[in-house]
Amino acid sequence: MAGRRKSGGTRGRSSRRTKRSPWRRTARFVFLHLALWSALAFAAYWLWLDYRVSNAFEHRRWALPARVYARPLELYPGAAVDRARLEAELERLGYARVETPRAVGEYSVARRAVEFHARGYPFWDAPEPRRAVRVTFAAAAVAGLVDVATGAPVALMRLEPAEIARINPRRYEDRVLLSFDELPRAFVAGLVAVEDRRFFEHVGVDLAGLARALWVNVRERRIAQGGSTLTQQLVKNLYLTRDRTLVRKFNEVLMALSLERRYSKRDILETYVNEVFLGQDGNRAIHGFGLAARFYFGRPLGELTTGEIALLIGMVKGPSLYDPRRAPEAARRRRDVVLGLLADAGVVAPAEAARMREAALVVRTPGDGGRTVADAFIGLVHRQLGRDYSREDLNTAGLKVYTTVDPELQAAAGRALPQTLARLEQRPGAADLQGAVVVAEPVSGEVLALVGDRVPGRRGFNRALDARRPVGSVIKPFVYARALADPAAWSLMSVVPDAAVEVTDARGQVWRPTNFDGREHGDVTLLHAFERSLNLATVQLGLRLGVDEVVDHLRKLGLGRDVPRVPAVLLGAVELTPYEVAEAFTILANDGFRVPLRAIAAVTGPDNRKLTRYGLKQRAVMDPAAAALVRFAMTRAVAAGTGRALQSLLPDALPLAGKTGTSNDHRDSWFAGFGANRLAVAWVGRDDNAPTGLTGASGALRVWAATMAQARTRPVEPTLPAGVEWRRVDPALAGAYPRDCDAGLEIPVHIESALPQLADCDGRVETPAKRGVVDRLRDWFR
Amino acid sequence: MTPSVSHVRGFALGACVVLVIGGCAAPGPSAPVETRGRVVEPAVALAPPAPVAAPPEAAAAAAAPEEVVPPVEPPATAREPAVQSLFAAAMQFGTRGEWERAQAALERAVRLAPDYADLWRELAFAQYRQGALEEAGHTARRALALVRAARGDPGPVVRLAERIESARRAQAGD
Repeated sequence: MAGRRKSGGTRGRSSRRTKRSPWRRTARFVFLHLALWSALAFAAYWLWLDYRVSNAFEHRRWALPARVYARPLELYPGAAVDRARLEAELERLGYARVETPRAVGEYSVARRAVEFHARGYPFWDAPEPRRAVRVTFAAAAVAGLVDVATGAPVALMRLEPAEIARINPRRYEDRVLLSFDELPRAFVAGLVAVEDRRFFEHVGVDLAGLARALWVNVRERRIAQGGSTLTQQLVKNLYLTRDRTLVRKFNEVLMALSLERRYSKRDILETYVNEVFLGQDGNRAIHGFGLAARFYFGRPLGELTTGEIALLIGMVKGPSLYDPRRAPEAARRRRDVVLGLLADAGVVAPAEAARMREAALVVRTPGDGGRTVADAFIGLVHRQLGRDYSREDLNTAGLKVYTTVDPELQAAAGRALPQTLARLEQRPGAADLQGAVVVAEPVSGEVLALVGDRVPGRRGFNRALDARRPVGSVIKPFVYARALADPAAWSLMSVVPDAAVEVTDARGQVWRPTNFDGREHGDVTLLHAFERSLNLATVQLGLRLGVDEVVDHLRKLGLGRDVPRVPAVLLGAVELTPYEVAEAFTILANDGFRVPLRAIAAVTGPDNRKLTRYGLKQRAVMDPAAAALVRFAMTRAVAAGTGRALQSLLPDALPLAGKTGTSNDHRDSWFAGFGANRLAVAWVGRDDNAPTGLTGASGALRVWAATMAQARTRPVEPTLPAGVEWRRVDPALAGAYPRDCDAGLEIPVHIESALPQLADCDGRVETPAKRGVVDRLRDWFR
Repeated sequence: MTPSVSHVRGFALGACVVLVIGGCAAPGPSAPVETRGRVVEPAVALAPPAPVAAPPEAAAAAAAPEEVVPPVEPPATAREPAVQSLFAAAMQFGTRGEWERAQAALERAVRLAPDYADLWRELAFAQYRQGALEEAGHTARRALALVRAARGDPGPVVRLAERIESARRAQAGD
């Protein structure tokens, strides 16, 4: 509408107004629209940034930190715990050694007894009360357990579980997570003094600091100072790229403001302390002060000196610039500067600062990279958390993850592997060896120790879980089990020829297996073929069973859906990880029941109430009689066969069941075995898959023995399932003695198996029909 | 065209709404309550061991007539106070309907005495009562194998296995 012109003096003012109004009103219109729309756009943008910030921060905030615990030590009369073990555990749990324990958390040691005042623990299933107990020992075991106050015997008790790690339950990250409460006060004060003096006062952006930095930068005509708050640095670390543009700075400011609006100073500082980048170790980034403290100084943050803390704080501005290993001079100067700042800010007494400046900067040489020995096990914990627990569960803050690891055994395995490999490498042809060890409790499937690398603290390839290798002869127990599951046709005394054989497959390729010694051994019993791990006899047996039969059987046992349908499977042309092999052997240790391995016993929230829990599981997959017969054959392999080196290495744990395995060209060395309470698999090989020159017996068996020697392994139990009985046999004649004889070897035999009967205790054969076979055996023995 | 006052007001109103929404966006979830360091006093301490009567043994039905099968005792481990105390605790939990705790106690016991068939039988029952029918079935099988190995009376386990099986069929049939 065009402005209306009015005439007349009295309307002079309005006419002036109306004369300018079209332009004015258009300008105002444009301005208002611009203002409103840009305000809208700005608001929308900020909303979006805010959402991003909170979304990602939730992800990190609620992920910090889950506490991971080892299995609690159980004490009861008869427990295989000696005085030294209990002392070590009490120390690990932070009990104080005193003359007479009076308060909770104290313990005393006598020659054959330990007295301590247990803290108790709110286990989700049955809380453990506080009480003073006295434990007496005899013969490296607990003899008695008494409640000191009442004098009553204690049947069973659990100590508190030792905390072994703090983790982000949803992501496998390399961090040593620290919670706000455990940060040393001096450290917090120092960090704030150096990096962001008004951290606890500002709203995310420090205008005074920014202004001052701007002034300095303008004056010096370069970007000399950042003026960024800790919040801004955190935002930069978490969300943004490192380019230094105005847009990025703008985003950073907005996001810092959002962060501060939503989260407390505690949360922000805690996250900052655990996220800030502090160095590079090969292809591993060092994030967080907890990990940095271990990485550079080999100790937890809480145990560092003021000077060391000063250096770490100083490294925030330039982790590679001030790397104490690569630039020791610059690092030392930086440390001294920071010490000065700390003194100025009153965090540190000037005298102390001066003293620290005098001290040399001592950095730990990079060895295990500052990680705990249980690293491979923690990797397994992560996988099972992700697999078995819901996202909602894992999003709970303050999760407590109760695992199955035996910290002492884990540490022992972590030492046994590198020590043994080093010894093995002294042999010609063996170099650059790697290995893996899995130790579990057969009845429950609980993983007691897991080592995936000869450098146990190194995070990288976890060979126990991921090295998929041909298992070689370690498959044989399962092949023989297929035969022995048909007792009318097969027993341990059944005879097969250890004779050369040629197998042509569908494509016309010919396979000619050979024995390890290149010879043929004539007619042999299944037991003998198993003890000596004879390839030809095994193939002959497998062909008589039918390769398809055997493959179906192996698949049913859970050895993998992709077990190939080729005769070479009979000799172990199947690729499995050490973990999978261990799980397979639970079948033989549990009379035919397969028990899945697990690393987590329970997960609770911070209130100690249980979240989801996966208890003991098992599946009947093999006839118990067949399992028992194979188990016996495995004890014979250790007693007299390829595993007999264990006789001298573990004399007190015998009989043990074991099986050696060597893959083609000696590329993989395996040993799998178990006692009544421990099952373990060891693998030795090279990452580049080159031959090592080691057999299962000369390689993996040594690692296995070194580990199991420290595992309180008990011998295999002699009990037999229903339908199987002990019979005395002559292994050479493959015949059974009459029942009242004392001669020969006692072996388990299924009641449905018909063994040739020997006439008397001197071994004369009764059944003429079997004569031919027996004669051949006799000749072989001559 | 110059906007009318109502247009301007409309826009202003809209912008205000948006800004207000943005400004009042929900604050972050409340921080978790720290409960670390507070030891929850246990409500129930493990009861002192109550002697557990050995299960009635009967000669195996399959025994040949001239063979006298001596009644077999539970394994030595069964008599250990630790195992008995866990067994008793499990029974207590069971009577209160706390089947998960009963199961946990039995699992601890089984680690100490893996050949003790009664433990496996009770474990199967605890799993059955929690509705884990497939697991219960497998556990009952284990109990049965052990009972037969010890030449004990398979009756109770067989009956339990049948109960579990019919519950499974009922569940599958629904």
